[in-house]
Amino acid sequence: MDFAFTEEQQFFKRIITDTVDRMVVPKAREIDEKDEFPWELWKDFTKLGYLGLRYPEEIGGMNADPVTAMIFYEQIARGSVGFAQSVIMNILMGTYFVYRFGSQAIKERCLYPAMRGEKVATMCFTEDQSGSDLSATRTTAVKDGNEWVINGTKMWITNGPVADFATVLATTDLSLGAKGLNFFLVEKGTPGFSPGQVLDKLGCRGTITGELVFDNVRIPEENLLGAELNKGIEYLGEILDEVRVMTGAMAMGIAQAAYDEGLEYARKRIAFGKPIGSYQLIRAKFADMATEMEASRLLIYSAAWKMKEKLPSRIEAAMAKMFATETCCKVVDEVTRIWGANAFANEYNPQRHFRDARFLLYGGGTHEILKDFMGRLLIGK
Amino acid sequence: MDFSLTTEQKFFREQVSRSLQRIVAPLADSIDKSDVFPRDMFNELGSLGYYGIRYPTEIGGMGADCIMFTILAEELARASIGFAAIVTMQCLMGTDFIYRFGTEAQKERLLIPAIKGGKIGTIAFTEPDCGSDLGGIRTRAVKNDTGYVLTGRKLWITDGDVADFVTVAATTDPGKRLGGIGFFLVEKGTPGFSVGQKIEKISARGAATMELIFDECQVSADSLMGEEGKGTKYLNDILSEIRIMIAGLGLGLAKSAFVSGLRYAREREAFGKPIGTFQLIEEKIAEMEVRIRAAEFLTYHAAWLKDQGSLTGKEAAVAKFYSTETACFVVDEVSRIHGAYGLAEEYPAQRYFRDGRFLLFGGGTSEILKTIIAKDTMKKCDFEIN
Repeated sequence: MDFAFTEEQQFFKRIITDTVDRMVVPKAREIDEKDEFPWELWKDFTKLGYLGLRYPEEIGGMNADPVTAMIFYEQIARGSVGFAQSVIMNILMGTYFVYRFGSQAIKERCLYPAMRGEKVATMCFTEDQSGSDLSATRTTAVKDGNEWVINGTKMWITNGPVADFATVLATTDLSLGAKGLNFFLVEKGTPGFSPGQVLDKLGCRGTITGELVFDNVRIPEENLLGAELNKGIEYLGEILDEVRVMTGAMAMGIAQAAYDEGLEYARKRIAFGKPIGSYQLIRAKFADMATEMEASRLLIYSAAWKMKEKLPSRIEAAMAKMFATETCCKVVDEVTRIWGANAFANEYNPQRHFRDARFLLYGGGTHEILKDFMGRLLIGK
Repeated sequence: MDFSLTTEQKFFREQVSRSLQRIVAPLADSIDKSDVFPRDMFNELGSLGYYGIRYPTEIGGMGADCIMFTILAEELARASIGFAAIVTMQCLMGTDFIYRFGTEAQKERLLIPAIKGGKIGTIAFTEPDCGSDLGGIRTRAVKNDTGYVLTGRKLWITDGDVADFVTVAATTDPGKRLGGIGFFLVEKGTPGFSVGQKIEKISARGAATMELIFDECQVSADSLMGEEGKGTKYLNDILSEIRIMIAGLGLGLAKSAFVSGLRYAREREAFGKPIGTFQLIEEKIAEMEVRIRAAEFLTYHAAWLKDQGSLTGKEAAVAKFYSTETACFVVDEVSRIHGAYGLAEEYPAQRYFRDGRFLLFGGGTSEILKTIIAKDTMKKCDFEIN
């Protein structure tokens, strides 16, 4: 057994930690308050090449293994989860299907510019009445000659209102449920494709989340992102574990940022003549937080290691996502208690962490769904 | 034993509930968004006489018992936590010292109008470096020929921007810590008294929280409420009532969040059926139902003890701790039931989630309350059956 990061991973961690401290941390509050896509930061940050994190060097990527990718996700979320969501959407879900199934022309038009930050990518699953239950997807794709015609409305789309291209989940046959689903590429400017309302939301602000409307959108045959028809769910399975563990890694980023704030406050805030950190009830909070964060990281990095080694990781990924996200929600809660009333003053960070953590509960599957899923796998049919 | 409300209390609850659901609830969202003192609403509720709920009928009050005051707090929080913070300040902390210790002239000028909503009162304890630990108060009151000179800064003062008068905790002898504290009445317009920055916050919006600055603020001798150095005792006289009131707020918030969660669990479908029919959601609903009931019993039990004249500090601490923690538990679970919509501004779930935190700190943090409960409990080695 070896629990240490490789030298290369350690080096990467130092660099990204420093980059986030320098570029992202100072902007976090402004990103949250404005709730606008931070174009300036986006331009500066994406120049560094991180958007190609997971892709091969031959196409301009960094060829990072899953463990290294988790280090990145954790650090960027520590800086600003709003910004992290936008960046990770380009790195992972927003580009994966284009990378995997796109023609050379599509890759040159969409993937490579997205890796350089010149285009913003997104992925659309969720609809008004379907979230974790993808089989309830109502957006349809109908073949008409050598074109597909897409109709439907997507909700909660990260980067949606600013995206240059979208990977859209749609069904070719409503009666097939999950077995009729496919991914389609729709580019900005295609007639009938338009952004709808932008959601005003509690956490993860700065990532623009909104509705996308597809009204008789006609796209060429090659925009079906898949080797075979109706295998969308199977293809999604290829990145599902990574998406879940990534969510756990982001949770650790927020948890670390909150924990650091809590630590500083517990050391300097005086009550009844001594620092509050000298009271047992406050000390116990740190013991619990640190233990659960350590356990979360072990779950995250061991799941990532399994993915790297191509070992089965479905249950491990769900465990890591659920445990790390719950730990994060607990840590941000405890830090607001340590901070007392100051925790809900907007001039300090704990209230932002408290709001941001909630966002991670839902993406990658709610914990109610994950528990049901894990229980089914563990018990057997 | 009898767990039911009296006819009078029942009638009062129906009346309050109807008024607040009509006047306040429909505007809860806009109060939260604007974070501005809702003056029209404040005046309208004042005309109904609720601000005098605890005071005798002879001075225009309602002469109600603690159970009825708790009902009011609960119903207010069910409608809007921001507005509830404003009203409870007016009913209790903002006016109580002047009621107990004010001169006739002060009562005529401030208390009597405040009971009808014509004047706004608030209280100022908290400072940048002292919250639950009142002994750390640094605002000074120095005696001179004409009265006292106040110097210091107060933070987190509810309604600080609109208050017509403030009861300010200050020390005449910092060396004595808790034994040096007194309460001083300061009216708007007094030279040296000014309003500082507003604290932008995530919870209880509408009840603006401000910094107040006292810069060699001269007040008259009769501005001292009661005696020098007895402030801590005077505060303790109403501390349990404050805690029961906050327990009532927790209960109201928990109930309105719970109802929104139930509604969503019935309407939202996944995998072809309402999510409320899945066991993991049923579990949440059962947990919330049980905890809210327990909080309700603890809260009204404490209020009843108060009315019987046999309340101990521990019972009020138990009620405040359990009810506010229940509220935070419920708003968390309700946001999970809503899924991502628990974060969307168009649903109230995100407001409930933010507002829950407001209840954890005022009246003592849960950490402080736990030590109070434990210290009292440790005095006896028996489980006391109430």
